[in-house]
Amino acid sequence: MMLTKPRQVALGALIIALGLVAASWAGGAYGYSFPRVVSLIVLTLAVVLLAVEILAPGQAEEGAISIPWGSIIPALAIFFLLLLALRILGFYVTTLVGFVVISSVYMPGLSSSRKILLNIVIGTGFLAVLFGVFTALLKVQFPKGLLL
Amino acid sequence: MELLHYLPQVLSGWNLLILIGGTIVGLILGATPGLSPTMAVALLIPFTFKMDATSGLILLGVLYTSTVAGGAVSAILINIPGAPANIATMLDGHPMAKAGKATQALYYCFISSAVGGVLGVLVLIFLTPYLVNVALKFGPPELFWTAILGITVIGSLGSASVLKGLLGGAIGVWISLIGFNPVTGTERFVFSEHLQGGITIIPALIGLFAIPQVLQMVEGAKGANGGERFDMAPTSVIKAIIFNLKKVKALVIGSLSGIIVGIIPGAGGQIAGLIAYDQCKKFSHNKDNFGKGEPEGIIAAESANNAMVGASLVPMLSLGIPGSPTAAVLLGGLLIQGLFPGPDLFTQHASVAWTFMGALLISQILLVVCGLWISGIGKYVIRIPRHIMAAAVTTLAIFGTYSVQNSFSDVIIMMSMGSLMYFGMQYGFTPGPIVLGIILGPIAETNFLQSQMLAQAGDGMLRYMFGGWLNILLVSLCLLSVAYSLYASWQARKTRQRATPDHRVQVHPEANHDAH
Amino acid sequence: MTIHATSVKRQTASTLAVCLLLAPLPSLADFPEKPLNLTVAYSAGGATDFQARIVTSKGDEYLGQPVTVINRPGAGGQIGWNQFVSTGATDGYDIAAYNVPHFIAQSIMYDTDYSIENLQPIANWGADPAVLIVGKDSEFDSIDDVVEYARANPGKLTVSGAGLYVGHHIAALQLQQSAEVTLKYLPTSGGVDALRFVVGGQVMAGFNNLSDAFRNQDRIKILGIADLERSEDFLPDVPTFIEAGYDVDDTSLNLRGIMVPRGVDAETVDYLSSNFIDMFQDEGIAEQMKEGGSTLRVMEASDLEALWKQQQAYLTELFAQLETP
Repeated sequence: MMLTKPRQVALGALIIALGLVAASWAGGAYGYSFPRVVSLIVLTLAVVLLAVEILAPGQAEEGAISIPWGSIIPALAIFFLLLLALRILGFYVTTLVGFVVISSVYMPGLSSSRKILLNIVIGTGFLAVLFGVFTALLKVQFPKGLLL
Repeated sequence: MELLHYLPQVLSGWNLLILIGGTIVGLILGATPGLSPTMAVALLIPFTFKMDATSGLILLGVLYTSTVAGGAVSAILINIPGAPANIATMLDGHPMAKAGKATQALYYCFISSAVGGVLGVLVLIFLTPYLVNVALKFGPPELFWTAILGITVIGSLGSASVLKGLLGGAIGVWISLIGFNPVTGTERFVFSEHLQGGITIIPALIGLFAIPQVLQMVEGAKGANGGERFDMAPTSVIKAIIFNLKKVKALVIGSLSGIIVGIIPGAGGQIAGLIAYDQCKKFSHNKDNFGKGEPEGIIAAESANNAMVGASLVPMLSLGIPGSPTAAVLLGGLLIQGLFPGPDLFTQHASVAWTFMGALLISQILLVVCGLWISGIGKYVIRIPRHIMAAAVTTLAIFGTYSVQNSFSDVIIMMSMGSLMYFGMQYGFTPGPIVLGIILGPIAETNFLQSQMLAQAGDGMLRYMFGGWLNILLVSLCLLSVAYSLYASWQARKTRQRATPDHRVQVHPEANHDAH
Repeated sequence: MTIHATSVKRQTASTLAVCLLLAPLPSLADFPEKPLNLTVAYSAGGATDFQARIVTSKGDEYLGQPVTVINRPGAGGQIGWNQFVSTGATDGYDIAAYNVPHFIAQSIMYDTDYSIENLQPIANWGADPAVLIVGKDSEFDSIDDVVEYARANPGKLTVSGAGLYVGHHIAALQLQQSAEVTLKYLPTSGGVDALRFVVGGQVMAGFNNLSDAFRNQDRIKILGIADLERSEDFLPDVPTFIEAGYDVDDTSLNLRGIMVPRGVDAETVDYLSSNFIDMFQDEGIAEQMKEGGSTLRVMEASDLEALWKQQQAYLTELFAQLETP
């Protein structure tokens, strides 16, 4: 059986479904009846999806799913680091750094210190507005951490 | 008539200022991806504290209306809905934008919003006493079937595979069960301490829609040379109005759906746009165009959203039962001012109540004016280069998520789910069904469990769940909805198979990248 | 000369030492220097939230600094309170609103990080007794009617309440015990839902807050109040359960007030306590609370400490007898 793209998808869904079923049965009986029903429904749908793909093939496309890892990985790494840093360094500082890093990493064309400086200026301005709206006006308390 | 009596007060100095200011602020807040209407209204309540009752109420009411309408701007231009209510708008709004018809889409949004909104407020003003009794008829079994009805509609969202839609919805329902359940008193699936609060609607909405968008923006950012990805040619406002008002069927279906969903007590108000969209599609002559840029989709969804606002205030003002989460926050604003829902509101505090409703009515008109004006600014927004946009949306997502419940766990959930969703989208899944599953899951479960308990004390499950005219009506609608979805996807499959003589079925190339 | 230099050095040293010793102690005149953070473990607009906002609205006047409300809703209050004990500072700036018996009951029945061991009360502002309500057209006109029905139909009398192990549930359990009947308790997701199921007829009776029931009087009948005395201000004609012959006391009373994590020094606690009590008794605030039908009951820290311990003991016993479903 060829592992075409849609079949990969269906298999993936099946694995997730089985995971949900396992999690739902791990708990005691009380309070878990609804999750069990739902996880069984997910399983049924996943099985149907797989069956449909095997019996009535969809796309002729084969091969793996094309994810542009090169472009995505930096962003995912940045997200991860942001989450780690938010409570340590403080909200505003971290988001400012995040803003500058994201906009600088993905700048089209050659990077130059002037362009990065521009990003820092835009970032600072943007966050200043957010500060004005959230902290000064709406009095939302963001975690402070080491810095602001 | 009392309304006319208090109308001049609405338009007087300070109140008028609040009306206009509130509409603009609300539109901008709603249009900003990552900031949700519920959050906006909740955060602004302390302000109303310092104002007098009338002005405070007007501000909250106007914000409620305009943030919902503003969310459509972000949905159309950036493919990120400002609120769950705008998910349906996005389905046809963004394709229209990509086809260069963004301005028209925005115009239709606001015009339909105004029509639906006015109808909703009129219902509030004239029909509240009669509708209150209808609202009270919704007990646990009725609400359960309503949630199921919402779930059956999920499958037909978008033109992607119905199966994947249902799968997404079911997974969304399961996810909503994570955390603490007040009816069972159990804590479930809390694999990490961050999951203790469960996965709530706003972080999920922001994560599932905004983050994949950011990742997609970032995919092509290095190669692109600037932001303008589509045209926003100005079009005639008059023509748009005429076109829109001619679409009576869509407007009626939209407004009616919005009103009905709004009246039903409980927090399901956000699905108004979805239900309207689905119904409109079912009764439309050009079904296939839905999801590819069909104006009727936008018209139905947006008129439903705003009609829902007025209607959700029916149970709220008369019984103190909010018909949507934002109405719940509004209730708090009322209580702080010492205004309590009930018949007293219209007698003892007549001036406040009528001025409030008059303000809501006027704000619908103001919404069109301000909205059309803001649509013009959209031109500049889409020119923002992708790398800046990606950074900005990420920042807003973080701020917007944290502000809802002052919870850092929410931010973690938001980013994780968003990143996973990106990969899910590569596999043909869309975020809409999942978010709707998350909204409807708790409603379905809580009401199911409560029905079980009540049935034990009564005549047993079968009698209880299927007894009464309302239950029978709702169950029939569910069955019809399921039957129709099956029929529709069967038809679609047959059409596709007919289109290609050999047994290799051609799938629409856009089927896997619908939500872009 | 050497002696002179040494004594100057010694003087400087000792002055310096005294200054260093005194510096870290916040002198009472300086506290508070910045706004206080009040964590409310429920969402904006709810009863606890808006009462908390009203009673702390004059922070400037009475405390010298305003009080900022931070909502941390979720899991019936557990999220907010868990976070409060784990991240709340003991310098007196972090305070929280408590709901008794909710948080005590939760600390007994659930796996929470908080309990009366790591939280201490500052002052109480509100007391919302539980009341027994039925629909306007209900066949029941008194507590006895309800009990009679329950005796004749064990397990069939449906009673709604705002959740599990909350005041309403406790009142229902107490009634069950003292009248020796079996009720069917239906937990809902909040007071609003519990009330409307009674109004809409989906349940036969319900326990709810006095304040909510009072505001909806024209749609329900209020049959009894779970308190030691009748509510003179709001419902003078409604008998207490004790009057009617049932041993339902005021354990189910929903008390709301301010608390801090244990570890805040005694001076700060006293300062907060006395000033909050003054603020709660402010005329304007009392007026606003009354308009909402929210009973004001001001209590001070020492009374509260005793009360909390009492509740802890009583509830542990009450819930132990509860059959796990």
